[in-house]
Amino acid sequence: MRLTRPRPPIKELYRLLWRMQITRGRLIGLGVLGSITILIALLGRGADDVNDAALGAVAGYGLGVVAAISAVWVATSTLGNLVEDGLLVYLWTKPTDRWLIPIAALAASLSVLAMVVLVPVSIAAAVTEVDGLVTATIAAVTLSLAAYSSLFVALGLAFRRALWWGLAYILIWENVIARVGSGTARFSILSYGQSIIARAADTEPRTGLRSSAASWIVPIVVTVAGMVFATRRLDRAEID
Amino acid sequence: MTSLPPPPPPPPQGGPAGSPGLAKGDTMIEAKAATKWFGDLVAVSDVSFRIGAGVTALLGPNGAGKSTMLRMLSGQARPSRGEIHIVGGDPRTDPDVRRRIGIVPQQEAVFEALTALEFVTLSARLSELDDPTSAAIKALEIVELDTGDKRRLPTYSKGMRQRVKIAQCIVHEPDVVLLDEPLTGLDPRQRLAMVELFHTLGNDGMCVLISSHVLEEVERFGSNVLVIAKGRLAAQGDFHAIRALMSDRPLRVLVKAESARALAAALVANEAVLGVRLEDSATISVEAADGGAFGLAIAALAQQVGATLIEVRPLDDDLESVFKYLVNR
Repeated sequence: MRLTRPRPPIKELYRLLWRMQITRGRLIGLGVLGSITILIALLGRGADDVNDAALGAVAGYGLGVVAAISAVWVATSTLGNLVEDGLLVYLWTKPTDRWLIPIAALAASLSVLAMVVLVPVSIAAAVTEVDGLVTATIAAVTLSLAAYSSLFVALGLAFRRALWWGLAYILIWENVIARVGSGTARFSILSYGQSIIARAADTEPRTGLRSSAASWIVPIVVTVAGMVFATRRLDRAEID
Repeated sequence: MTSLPPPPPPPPQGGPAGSPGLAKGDTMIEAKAATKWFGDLVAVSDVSFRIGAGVTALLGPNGAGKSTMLRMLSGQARPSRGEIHIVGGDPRTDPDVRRRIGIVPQQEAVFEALTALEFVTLSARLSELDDPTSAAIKALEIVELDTGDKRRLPTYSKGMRQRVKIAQCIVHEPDVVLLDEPLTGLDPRQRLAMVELFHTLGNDGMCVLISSHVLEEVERFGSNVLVIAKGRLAAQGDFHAIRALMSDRPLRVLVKAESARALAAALVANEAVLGVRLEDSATISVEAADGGAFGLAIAALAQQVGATLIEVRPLDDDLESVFKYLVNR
């Protein structure tokens, strides 16, 4: 009789989901998207207001476009593809704790996004030569990617065509409605990451400056909430 | 529901070796008034049955509710009403129950990034086996696949992928095996091998429930069937016994005998017989109202008229006849 439970298979789930994310087309597409951030940062070095140009490159394009779109592309498909292809059954019907599945999906998404988003956007921050921007960028991108990924992993479980719902959120809510006023901006993940970078660049983003504490806490809360929602969704789901 | 009798008790076979809490003849799958609806559509309605160890075929036409029933049994779908118990527990919520179930789903998709060994090892690992790689190698050998094959699963033929799915299902030696159309895509030799495997699993004490709409396949699985038609359980048990109980439908019997004409005349006068037709000088086809009474009468009548019986064979107790009768009522 077995007295101890074996190690939870989080590593195996992570490796499976990570390998499913790594496709040549996706890496090239996202790599090109990320590399453009470096180009914009290089061009911004000749601007009149270097700090404002750096904010535009790193927080505007790097975080607002590259991080958000890459996250929605990668994270919605991590579990969403399993649902659509009928593969979730091979994980869901096992005795493994179900919360491991979204956690592994989040970790797999973040690993991919670190390569195609965090690295080029951090290089772009270094290129601007603004003091303290690299550290702030790494923190902001990491927190934002975690929040986005968690949200979109959950979205992939909750909706078919989650990619389009995610894109609609990014393009319509984060980039249009959230810029209308500070009230709506509070419900934008982007505004918190941009605030961290803006503080380092000593300037203010269009979505307004969030408090320092909120800039760190809100993305973490969104990350945890996304995982809780995804786990509850998995527990209650009917699987094909 | 048919007027056929309630489900017979599970076959008196042993529980799986080492399976906690299972004794000989124990019920391993139990559905109690299980019902599943999707909006206005009732997919499965008020289905109750119990199954023990051995092979049982879940039979029904396309759209009858077989896959929905299997999804409820595996925990993938929650009954809208009623209860499902697998080895005494709820497969949706109890990890210990899930550990004792193996599933081959109907969908063809497999993890494209993995090799066969990686897929089956993953299944073993998720089933919390101590040595998942050894268990995966053993399972792949059982389904006759190369354990050293480095190719990814998309390069496999449909039949090979199906065998990989079966390997991942049995890798943890479950007590209950649920297979949805498992022979799809297999060639005749592979089908035969898989049918033999299912019988071996059943004889080893596993409860093997196989869904199929192909009657030829089902006959090979054995005679124990669950028939689902229009979302309802039409019958359960040995299909020969089910046929014998279809009292509202005459039994057709072929009788070969010397002096067949004299025997035919004697049969006409027998009250158990509804109709007699002399096919040739040695062959009679008989419609009997009561199979049991006819069975008792035929030998006595043959003796009475001096006819030597050569063969007495039912013409319509094959699975296809039983199935058509049940689903068309």
